[in-house]
Amino acid sequence: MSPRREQGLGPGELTWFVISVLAAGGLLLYLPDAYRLAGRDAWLLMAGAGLIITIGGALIGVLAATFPGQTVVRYAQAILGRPLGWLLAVALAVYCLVATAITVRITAEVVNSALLARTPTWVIVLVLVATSWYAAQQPILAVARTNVMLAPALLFLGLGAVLTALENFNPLHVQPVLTNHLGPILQAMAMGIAQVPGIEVLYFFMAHVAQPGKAARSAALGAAIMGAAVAVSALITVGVLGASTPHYSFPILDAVKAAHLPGGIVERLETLFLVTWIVATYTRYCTLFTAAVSGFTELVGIPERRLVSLPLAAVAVLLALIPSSQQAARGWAAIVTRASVVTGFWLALLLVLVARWRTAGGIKT
Amino acid sequence: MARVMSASERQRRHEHPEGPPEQARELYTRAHHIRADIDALLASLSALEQGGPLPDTLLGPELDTNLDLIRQATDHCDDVIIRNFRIGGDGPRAALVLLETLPDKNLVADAIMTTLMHLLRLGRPEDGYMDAIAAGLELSVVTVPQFAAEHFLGGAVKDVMTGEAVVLVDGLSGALVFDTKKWPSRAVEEPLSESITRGPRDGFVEQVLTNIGLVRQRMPVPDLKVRIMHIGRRSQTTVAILYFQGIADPDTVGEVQRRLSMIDTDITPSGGYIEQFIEDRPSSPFPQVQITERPDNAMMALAQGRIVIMVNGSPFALMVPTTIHDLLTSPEDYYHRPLFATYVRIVRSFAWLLAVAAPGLFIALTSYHPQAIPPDLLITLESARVNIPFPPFVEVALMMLAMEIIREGAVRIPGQIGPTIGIVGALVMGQAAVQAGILAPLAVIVVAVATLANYAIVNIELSSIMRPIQWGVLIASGVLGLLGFVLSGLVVLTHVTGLTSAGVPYLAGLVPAVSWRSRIPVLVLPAWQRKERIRIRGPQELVKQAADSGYAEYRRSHGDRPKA
Repeated sequence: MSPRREQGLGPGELTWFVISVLAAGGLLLYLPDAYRLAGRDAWLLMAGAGLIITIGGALIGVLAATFPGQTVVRYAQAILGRPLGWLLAVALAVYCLVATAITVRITAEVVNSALLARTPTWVIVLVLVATSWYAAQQPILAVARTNVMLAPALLFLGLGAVLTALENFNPLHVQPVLTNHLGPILQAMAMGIAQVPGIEVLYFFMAHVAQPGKAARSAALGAAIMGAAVAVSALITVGVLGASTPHYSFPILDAVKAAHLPGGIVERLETLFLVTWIVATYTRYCTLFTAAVSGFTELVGIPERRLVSLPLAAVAVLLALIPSSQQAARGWAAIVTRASVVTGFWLALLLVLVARWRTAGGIKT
Repeated sequence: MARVMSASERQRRHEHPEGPPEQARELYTRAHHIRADIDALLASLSALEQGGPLPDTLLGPELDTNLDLIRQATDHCDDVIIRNFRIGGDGPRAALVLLETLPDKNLVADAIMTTLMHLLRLGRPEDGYMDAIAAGLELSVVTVPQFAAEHFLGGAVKDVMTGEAVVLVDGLSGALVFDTKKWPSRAVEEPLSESITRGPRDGFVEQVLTNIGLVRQRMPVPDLKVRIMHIGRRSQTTVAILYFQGIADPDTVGEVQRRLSMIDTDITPSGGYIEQFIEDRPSSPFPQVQITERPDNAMMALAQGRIVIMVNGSPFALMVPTTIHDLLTSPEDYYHRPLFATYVRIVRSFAWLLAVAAPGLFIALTSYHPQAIPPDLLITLESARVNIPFPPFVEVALMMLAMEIIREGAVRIPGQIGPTIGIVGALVMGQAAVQAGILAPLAVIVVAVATLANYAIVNIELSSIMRPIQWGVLIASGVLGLLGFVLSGLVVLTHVTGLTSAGVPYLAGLVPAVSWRSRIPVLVLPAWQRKERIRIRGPQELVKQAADSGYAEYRRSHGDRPKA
């Protein structure tokens, strides 16, 4: 019933959108493994990971500029051919659904351990999936713009909370060593990229940008800002915790816990941090679920997203409840986040290269 | 109703006061006759085209037949008066049909009856010359401002029912319709729901024409367009659409007109009824149409390129497109000093957040996460709750329920004692509940603050919807603590972000942002700096004032600020 054409995401909005989808991972950065592999240089490797995420965002932006108004469902088929492109789109949609379920489960586990100790995990999972289902009922731009609204608060509150840990910062803990071998460095960097997943939702959301020509720049800027924020968080965390970093499950949280706000207004800052993280996680799993719903709707060819969203929500609940324990859920999460290196960077690179190659070869994509 | 005479005809007659020659008069009369027939034919064809029967029964030349038809149509309507008389005292028979209640009886007696019975001399008229007679009457005899001929029974009856006086003359097909409406209306008073400390004091009333006048006197230019339509099969409610040509987005104007014309309902008792038909998402609890009782508010909306809809019988005008910013803004924000207005907006925004979140946050923190509360405050809170038999959630829920009952009761209690009873009830009940050890003092304070904060919301519709949302946040917080509190807020935010009003995003200004200033909705700029209209509403003319108007010109010419 709209009298005017729905306006897409502007370049600035796209930047904030990218920040919001990456914020959840950045806020609860898991540093122990990276520290074990790279020691004091872990924070430098996080900066390198941020750079790769930035390139991934730019590559998906290039695809959006090349195929304006299209999601990966259509342009993957145009680039790779119908069967392969279709399979790739299915894989991406399935990935988004599984990532939703795992994000929800991990969120439920953290909430269960930090906020609601007596509430059964399945209740929290159900509530979280219900909220993502509700978000997926809204227009896709509404989900994106909710993220845009929340992104500045997430970035500044998250960074602000991390910056409060500076009172315990020791510069000696972060002096670069740069003596590691290439193998562990690359491994740690891949872990770093996996720590900030979410960029792959751009395959579905980029179809709704107002100026596709500026999409690559905007997405890269958002990813770069978030990459820098991640590097700063890692720097401060390692600077505060030093060699004991690998002993903590969520080192940033523990670094923040050690800090106190002046005046004693909020005695335990971690509650505020957790609230910020819940908001960031909400933006992530809602965006992932909306991307999954959008992908399946387009793949199946159903005009109404509502028809797809409810069965997918049920599947997401079941998937989220499959891991039998928190440890098992972490194992699943590790697989999914590592897959995001493929989906967020390598896949985008492959699609861009093939598209260029086919265009250079005179093949119409 | 067909108009009797065009402007060019009037002009021609004005240029020849002695009247046209006899042959021209006859041609003129015949032309009128033909035009009346064509009008009737076109109406019939239009009805047939739409697949319906003939719209109406044509009024014939027989007075008694016509009166019988009118009597049948108005059977058991005891307020319909039929007054028989003769034109000029001894001329052809005629009848005046009108309601006893709505018409201006003085106007009927002085301008119609006196004229027709004593001043007009009319021989036996030739059948079908109603338009010619009407034209002659309008030009030189009848002093009623609006005056027309009607050829159909249904139209004549509808005219009678709306307060117009209908005259039937024996030997003439059709009827003469005189605009004698004098609908009962209260005087223009200060709006009750939008009180302000600085600004005009007049408010809309239930009469749509009065309301149009209140806006028109503020914008006496032809670019202010007023389109009138009638909605409701039985109520035939007069609805006026006002917009500023050259500023309002024509697509939005067309869309609003289309949505209004699509309403096919029995009655339209109020603007709130129509509002639900034209909203983008009627199932949403958030109002997507702004209402106002203030003509100055309507004027500002029109100047922004928005569309104002007025409904007869309602003192509230509807304004579209509406954004959340409009609902949180008071017209007096633009009358006060910008710094003070900004300060007031900050207070109002804070109050809005408090109204929604205070009870829920209180429950989440005290019931689930006391570790987030500083120890000294926590000790005070817990010591006040030592003998309270209920958990905090039940305490707050009971208090909120009591507040809702008091609020509803105070509205229903007649006259001036309503607010007094409300305040006394709240004070006495709260004090008694605390003294009896049923409620903790802080729970009473939190609910009282949330209730007061709710009253700080400018828009009455938004303020009302905050109450059920407050309950939703409370229940979510009571069940899932901080997680429920945060998630309920996020769900509301997602919902609101997905809303549109006449195609414009509900959060326009924030997302999508128009400028850096629009991201700070509490900021009120000085009038001389508000140079542009809000782009997202698609105004045809973006710039609303000259770049060097007022103080801006002073700065430009002096190169700096004026010295104190």
